[in-house]
Amino acid sequence: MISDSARGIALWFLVIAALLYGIVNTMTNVVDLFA
Amino acid sequence: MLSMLDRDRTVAGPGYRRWLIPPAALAVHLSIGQVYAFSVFKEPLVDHFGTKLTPISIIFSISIVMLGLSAAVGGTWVERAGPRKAMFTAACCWSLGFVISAFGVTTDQLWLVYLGYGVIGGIGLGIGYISPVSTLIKWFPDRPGLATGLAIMGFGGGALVAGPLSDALLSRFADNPADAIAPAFLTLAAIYFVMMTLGAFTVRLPAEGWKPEGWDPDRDAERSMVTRGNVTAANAIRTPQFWLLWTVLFCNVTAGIGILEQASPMIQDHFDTVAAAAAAGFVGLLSLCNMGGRIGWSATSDLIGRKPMYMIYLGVGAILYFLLASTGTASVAWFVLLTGVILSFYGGGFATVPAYLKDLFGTLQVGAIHGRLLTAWSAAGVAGPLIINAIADAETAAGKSGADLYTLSLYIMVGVLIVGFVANLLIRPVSDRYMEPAEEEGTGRFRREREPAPVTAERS
Repeated sequence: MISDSARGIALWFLVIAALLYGIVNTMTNVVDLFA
Repeated sequence: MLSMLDRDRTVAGPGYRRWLIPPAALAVHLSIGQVYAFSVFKEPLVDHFGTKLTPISIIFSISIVMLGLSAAVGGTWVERAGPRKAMFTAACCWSLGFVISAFGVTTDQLWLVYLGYGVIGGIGLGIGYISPVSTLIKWFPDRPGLATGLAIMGFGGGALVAGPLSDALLSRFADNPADAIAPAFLTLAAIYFVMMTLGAFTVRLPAEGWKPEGWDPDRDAERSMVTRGNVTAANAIRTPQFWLLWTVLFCNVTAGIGILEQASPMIQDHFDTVAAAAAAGFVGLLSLCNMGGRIGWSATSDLIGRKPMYMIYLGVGAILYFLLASTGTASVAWFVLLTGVILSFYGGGFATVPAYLKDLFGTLQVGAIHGRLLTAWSAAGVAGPLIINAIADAETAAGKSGADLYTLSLYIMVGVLIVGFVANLLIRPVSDRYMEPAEEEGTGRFRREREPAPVTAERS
C-alpha cells in the first residue's frame, strides 16, 4: 500500500514534469517571435 | 471497492500535510485543460469527415456549454459526494468522451464525436473543474487565492501540454494526421484517466474543525469583505453580489476572448514583419501569460484583497485595451507587452473568483456556487467571439484592413471592462439574512451568527 505522502510527492513530480514539457515546447515557438 | 470514493473515507487523519492536495488538483486541471488545445484536431477532423470547419468547431462549443451547465447543475452533488468521487466521475466522463469519439471517428459518425467529446467529455470538464476547488479552499483558508490559483493555473497549462502531445501522437500513428485521430484519442483517454485517477485517490478533506497552525479566522473576518458565515448555493443566487460577480466574470472573460480569439491574425495584421511561425510563438506566449496570471495575480489577491484585485484586472485592463487600440502599432515588443498583461489579467480573473466567492459566501457550498457562476464563462464564450467576428466582418466589408480591422473591437472591449469595473465597485458584503444558522459546537443545535462581520471598511 502506497502512503499518502509518497503518492502526493510522486504526483508533484508528475505535474511539474508535464508543465515543464508544455512550457519548453511553447518557448521554442516564442523564440521565433523575436528572432 | 467503490466505498473508497465516499466522502467520509476521504477525511485526512491527524498530521496530514496539506501541500499534498495541490498536485491532486493540478493533475485533474492539467488533464481537462486539453480542451483549449482541441484546435490541434480541427484540420485532421475536417479532412477525415470531409466536411467544413463549422461542423467541427461545434464540438468545442458543445463541450464548453456542457462545462458551464454541468458545473451549475452538478455543483451541489459535488459538495455532497466529496472531491474523490467527483474527481473520479470527472475522470470517467472525460476519458469515456475520448473513447466514444474515437469510435465515432472509426465508424465515420460525427454525431458520436458530438456526444463523446462534446456532451460526455463536457460533463467531465464541468465536474472536474469545480471538484478540487472547494477542497483547496478548505485546506488553505489562510491563502485561498494561492491555492485555487495553483489548480486553475493547471487548466491554462493543460493546453500547453496537450498541444505538442497531440501533435506528436498524430504524427506517430499515421502518415496522414486524419488517419491517426482514433488512436490519438484512445491514447489521450488512457493518459488522462490514469492522471485524474491518481489525483482522485490522493485528494483528502480536512477533518471537521481543522485549521492551519497559527491561523486566526477572526483576524480575516475583520476585513469587511470576508464573511464569517455561510450561504447555501440556493440562497447565493438570490443575492445581488452573485449577479454582480457574474457580470464581473462575464466582462473579464469576454474582453480576454477578444484577443485570444484573434491572436494569430491580429499580430500579423498589425505588423507585416511577423510571419506565421512567429505568430504561433505569440499565441504560445499569450498562453504562458494566461497561465502565469492565474497563479501570480490570484496569490497577490491574498495580500491586497479580492475587490482591489478585480479593480486592477478591469480598470488597468481597460487602460491597456485603450493603449492597444491607440498605440498598438508602435512596435512588436509594445504590442506583445500590452496583450501579454491583458491575458495575464484574463487568467487571473478566472483563478481569483473562487476565493472571492469564499470571502462573500463562506466555504459551506463554495464549489456549488462556483459552478453556478461558471455559466458566465459559457455565456462569454458564446458572446465574445460573436461580437469580435461580427465586427471584423463588418470592418472588412467597409474596406478596412490591417490594424484598423480591430480598432472598433478593442474600444468596445474598453467599454465592456468599464461595465465590469462598475459591477465590481458595487459589490458589498452579503447581508446576514442570507447566512445559514451556525452549529453550536458539540451540541448539534443551530444558532444564528451573533457577531456578524463588520461591514463598514473595505479591505485594503
